[in-house]
Amino acid sequence: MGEIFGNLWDGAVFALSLWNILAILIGYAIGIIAGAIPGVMAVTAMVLILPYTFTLEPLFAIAMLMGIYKGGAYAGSITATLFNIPGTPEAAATALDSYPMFKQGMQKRSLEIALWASVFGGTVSNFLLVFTAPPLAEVALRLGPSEIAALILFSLTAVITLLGDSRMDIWKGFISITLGLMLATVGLDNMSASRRYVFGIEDLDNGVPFVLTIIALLALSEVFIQAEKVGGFTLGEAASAVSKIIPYTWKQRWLDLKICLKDLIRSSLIGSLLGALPGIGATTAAFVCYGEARRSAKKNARFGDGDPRGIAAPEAGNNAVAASSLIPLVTLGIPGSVAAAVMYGAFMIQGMIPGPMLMMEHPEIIYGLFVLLIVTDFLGAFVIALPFISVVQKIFKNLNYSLFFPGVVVCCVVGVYAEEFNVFNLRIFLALGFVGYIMRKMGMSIPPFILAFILGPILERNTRTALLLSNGSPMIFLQSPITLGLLILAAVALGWSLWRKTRGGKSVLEVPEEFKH
Amino acid sequence: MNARSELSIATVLIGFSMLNYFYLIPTQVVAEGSSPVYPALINTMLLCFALAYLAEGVRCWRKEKLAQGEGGSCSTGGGKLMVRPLAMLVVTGAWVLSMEYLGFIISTFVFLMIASRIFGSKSWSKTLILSVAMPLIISFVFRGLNALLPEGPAEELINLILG
Repeated sequence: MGEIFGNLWDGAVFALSLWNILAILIGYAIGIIAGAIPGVMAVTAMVLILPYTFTLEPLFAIAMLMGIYKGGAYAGSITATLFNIPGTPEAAATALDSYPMFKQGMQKRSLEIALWASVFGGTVSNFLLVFTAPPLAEVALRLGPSEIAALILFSLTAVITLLGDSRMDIWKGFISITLGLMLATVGLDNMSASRRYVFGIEDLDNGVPFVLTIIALLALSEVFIQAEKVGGFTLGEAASAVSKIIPYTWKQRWLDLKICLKDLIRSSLIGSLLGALPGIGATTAAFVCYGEARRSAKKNARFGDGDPRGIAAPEAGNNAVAASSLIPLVTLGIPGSVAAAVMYGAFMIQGMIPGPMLMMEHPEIIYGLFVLLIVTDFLGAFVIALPFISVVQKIFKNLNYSLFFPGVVVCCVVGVYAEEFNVFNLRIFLALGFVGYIMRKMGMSIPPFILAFILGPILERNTRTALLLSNGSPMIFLQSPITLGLLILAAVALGWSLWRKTRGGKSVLEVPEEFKH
Repeated sequence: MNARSELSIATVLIGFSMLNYFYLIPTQVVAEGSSPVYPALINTMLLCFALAYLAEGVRCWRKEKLAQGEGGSCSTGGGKLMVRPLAMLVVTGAWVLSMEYLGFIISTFVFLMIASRIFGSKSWSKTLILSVAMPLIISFVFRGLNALLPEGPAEELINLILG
């Protein structure tokens, strides 16, 4: 414990510079704007910024990306409250109560509850990350190649089995993962350095670039999807319908804190735990927390009609996911969410490989990141979020989508080109963007594809090293109790999930269809 | 998507898996001197999952037939491809391909003019402002960073003016 505090202090000394704080604020502002625009999530903004982080200082770049993620996590609630249009899918749960509260003239109350809940959830999750990451990293260092391979297989299985809503979804998810693993094999073989699937094209020798793949699959495919919805965004009548605005007094604030405290604590813990599991995501966490708050409330609760707990619970839950989703990344080097995958990319761009070794060799960077995470929630809330609410309101009302999305494509293309100054990459980018669009139309999930693409080389290296160690015998995967346990867990998770779908049972992690990615 | 589409996709995936086994792995992996074990392992996984998907598709198809008229379906996915996304793909492709010959500024100008129309822009003046300003700003930012975007007549003219 003492060592953790010592490292935190060193991290604070290393990371708390004016530039890094500026990076957080810039990132938070970008995140708030991006998160408030339907169709553009914080992760999209992170992806667009990613290629430009090449020239930035490591912590500056990572702090900015973290700021975007955290800002985006809160921002969805602004448009959910003001227009009943969730800027992010997770804010859909918040809208159930924040919009009715807004309609009653309590705009300030609703937005402030969402903000404070975000800070609370984020902070609990930050501390969970700080105190669980070091012991987990020590365990991770003792893992051998077969254990790491099994762990990756388990993570990929967990992503699918926890999120699939039907057996069809589960098989499609696995196909998505397999295609991601296949794409990762393009380029030089990472053991023998011989070429694979390059079709004589030298530009493919280094494989399909990571940043390009993420931008194409997330941002470009989203633009294609949005092209279908031209003219589909309307603000409704409600935004201008509220004439009377009720002030939010300090007494009311105190009362709200007393009413919501239990839900804040419970939702922060639920969000943190769900966030640490690969693939769960903030949307599911928000709905689970909302459901829990509603279930535990007394009969006179006004859920759905502007109950403060209906805002506090999902906001605390979805913001708690942000930091805890980094636990698998910093301790095991395995990104458990798309945002964590983008962070993984940011580390790689800076020449660092996330995982237990980074934590042992450069604790100042990892603990610096932890300190910046803690600071982000408070600084973002006080300095950026509150003043930005009116800015977001104006941007959202006046945004011209017909000009915005073509502009996004230009930013994507320039970002991809700037990565290697290679026009050939743009062709792969376009092809992958269209593949992403087709996959989404087919109901195949993109995040598992991306996670598999990132984890593919690690999985291959560790699988092949394990087989080399055992002279080609696959029994090595059954000898270690950890490997065996993880493989059994993966098989059980898959079996249970398929059985549950056959029985038609509903998951507690059910998210309404319209709010899925 | 209906069950028939799901079955078609599953069949395409199985076909791709076969192509990989019998053509791509021998010519693109083994012939280059690389071990086929890992690619074959992943391909086997793809084949297994595609077969499971096909079986699920068949089950779905039967269910749909039984529930005909009642609207029952167990398929997932978004349905048909639309014209606008395809138009965006063609325009973006043309932009990317023409960038090497026309340069960044001119090709991006043309792309933004057309793409904004695809997205339903009705204001010519706003579209024109964006189409002129965005490539110029990006071009000058890159110039400031000493990084070069593909050059064409417009860039040459700017070079001439700025010396």
